[in-house]
Amino acid sequence: MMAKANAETIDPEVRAQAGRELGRAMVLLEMEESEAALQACERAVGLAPQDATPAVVRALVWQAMGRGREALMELKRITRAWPESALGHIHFAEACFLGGRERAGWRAMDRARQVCETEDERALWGAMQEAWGAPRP
Amino acid sequence: MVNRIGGHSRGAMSVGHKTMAKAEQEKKGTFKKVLSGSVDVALQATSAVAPALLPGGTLLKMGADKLYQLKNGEQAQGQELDKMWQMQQDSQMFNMQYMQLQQRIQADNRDFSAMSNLLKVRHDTAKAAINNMHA
Repeated sequence: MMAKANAETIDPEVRAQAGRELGRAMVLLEMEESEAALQACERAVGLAPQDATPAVVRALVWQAMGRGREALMELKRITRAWPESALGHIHFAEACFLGGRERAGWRAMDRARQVCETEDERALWGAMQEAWGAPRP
Repeated sequence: MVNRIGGHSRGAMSVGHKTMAKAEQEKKGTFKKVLSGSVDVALQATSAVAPALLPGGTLLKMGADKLYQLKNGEQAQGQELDKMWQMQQDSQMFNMQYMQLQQRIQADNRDFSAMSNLLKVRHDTAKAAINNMHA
């Protein structure tokens, strides 16, 4: 809750700047410019350290770069620092599934369900469950 | 006219008798053929229909096939039936394999759809979260 309050009290212009950096990171990631995407994420985290989103996006970039272990540890940290962040829980669950930690993944999915607020978060939760819910052959 | 009647010699009578006997023989042969054909048809029909309609029909089919073979007394015919039976078994096996392949393809398609949807939603959610920072 404290982190959320801090995120709300941050200068809106700085937060918007962090958002632009993250948008840039997403585009760079699609262009497979992972290093440049990671640098954009680092700048966003530096601009808005109290916000969960830059940290989550940075973890996603790590995951895309194949640095799964770092992504997992970062997402675990995010779920503790921002327990109200559904995105953090859902992506932590995904990292667990990818790392073969199914039970931890489903626990994270349970926590995520409790904190999902927006339609997008619920859609992501549903898609994640659909993709990982079916037993693997 | 009298001459014609009187002209029937012993030889002519004999020829007439032979012709009648031959016709009788042919008549008997025809009946045999018809009966044989009927039996064949009955055996083949039993062989074809019994497995589908009757309990224990497969046994009946095998019996009918065997009788058919015995009746015709042709080894070649039996071999043909064996080949047909073998081909039928092969066909069933291929059908089974094809069905299994289709099921696997369907499962793969489902997995692919789920993953594709996940990627899209994942991207949309991240985009929405980032847009939320601009507000």
